Amino acid sequence: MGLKAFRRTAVPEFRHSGGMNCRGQAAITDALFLLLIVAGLSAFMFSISGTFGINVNKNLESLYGADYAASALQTILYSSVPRVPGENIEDTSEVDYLLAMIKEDYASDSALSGGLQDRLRDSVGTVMDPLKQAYDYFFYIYIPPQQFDNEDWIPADEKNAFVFVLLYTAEYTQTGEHEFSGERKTYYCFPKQSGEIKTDNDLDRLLFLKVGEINKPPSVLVNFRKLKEEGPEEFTQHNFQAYVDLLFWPAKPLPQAPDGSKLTSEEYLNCSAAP
Amino acid sequence: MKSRKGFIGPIGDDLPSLIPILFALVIFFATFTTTFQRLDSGQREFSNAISLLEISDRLRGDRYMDTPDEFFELCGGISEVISVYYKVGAVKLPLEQTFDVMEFVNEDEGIFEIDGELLECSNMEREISHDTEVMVKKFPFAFQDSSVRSGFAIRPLLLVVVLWD
Repeated sequence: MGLKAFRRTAVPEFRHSGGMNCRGQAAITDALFLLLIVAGLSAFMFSISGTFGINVNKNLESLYGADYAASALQTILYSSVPRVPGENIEDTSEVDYLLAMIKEDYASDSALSGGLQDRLRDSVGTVMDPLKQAYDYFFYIYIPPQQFDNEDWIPADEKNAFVFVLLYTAEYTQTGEHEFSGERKTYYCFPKQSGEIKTDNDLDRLLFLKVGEINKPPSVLVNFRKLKEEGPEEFTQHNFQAYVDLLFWPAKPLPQAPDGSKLTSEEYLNCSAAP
Repeated sequence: MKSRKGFIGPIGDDLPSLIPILFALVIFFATFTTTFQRLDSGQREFSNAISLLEISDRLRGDRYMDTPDEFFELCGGISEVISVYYKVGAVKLPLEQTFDVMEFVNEDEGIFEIDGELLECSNMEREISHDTEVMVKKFPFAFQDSSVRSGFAIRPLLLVVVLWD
């Protein structure tokens, strides 16, 4: 039973009191109710179509980001580099795996030489080239410091948890309400053992959890080795498990350290611009 | 009844109420059509995005490619499962110039060449135009290049996947 019919039967005096004009009023009221319902329904359909797939899109983008980061990390670690610095991979007569060179270099003094750092920077920069315009990235090789606990034969200054840290970002300065300017640079960072960043948990807390949407693939586990001299020409091999990570996020100013200083300062990441 | 004041007729009497009814019908069908089109285009977009990821996964495998033959062999299998147009090509890293999708698809611009063969595959029937809505994604992978002077080098390449309806 429609509203109009209901009024006719249930409220007969209404009909008698107003005559035919009231019938017209009832009809137009019904029509306005219909319009109201349709307007509500339309608003609902609009909201459905407007928000449709936002989460799916976000998930697809995040899937793509994680896929890119994982592929980039694997590609960097698979890559070859010329044995002679400065030579081109196409024309050089001898190449070596980048990872093998890193391991070899680490074995001698638990650090990477300047030349190798530059090659690693170039390799990471090459693979991240398509995203450089819009993203900042962070590449690091990390050995959990607990692994050095019973290794008294290693000099204290060689027990660095962070073997290599590369940061690509800019020292942004705010030029407007939502405008920033800054020259993008690559930084080598050497977090000090006595500083505020001692483990990767500190990195999570101070940087990764604060930069917003971040693309982080699973870490790649790599075995690093050091030789311990037991006697004349007698060595034992000690293995250390290192984690290699590559993370990137939409370019933005780095978060500040808890004390208000820059995160790239000496007390924290201790970064200096790469040559 | 007919002599009563204000009576126009069975339809004429309800004429004012027809206006909101017609207005409501117009709103409803317009919204319905728009919503349907948006959902349909959204579905197509998701389906294309998934196809794109599928293509890249099939081609890269473990992100390491031994030979150009492996690339072409994997490329051959794509057309069996993908129902939209696509073009896939490997591009040298770092990018030597700004990447242009039109030139990449239509003119093979920037595609890596090894032993006289371009590392690309496609099921396109005609060139794309500026109006063609394309979806592009890039993925790095390691390629074992035996054409270098040292005879063996693993170099980073960029797998570019372009998809359109």
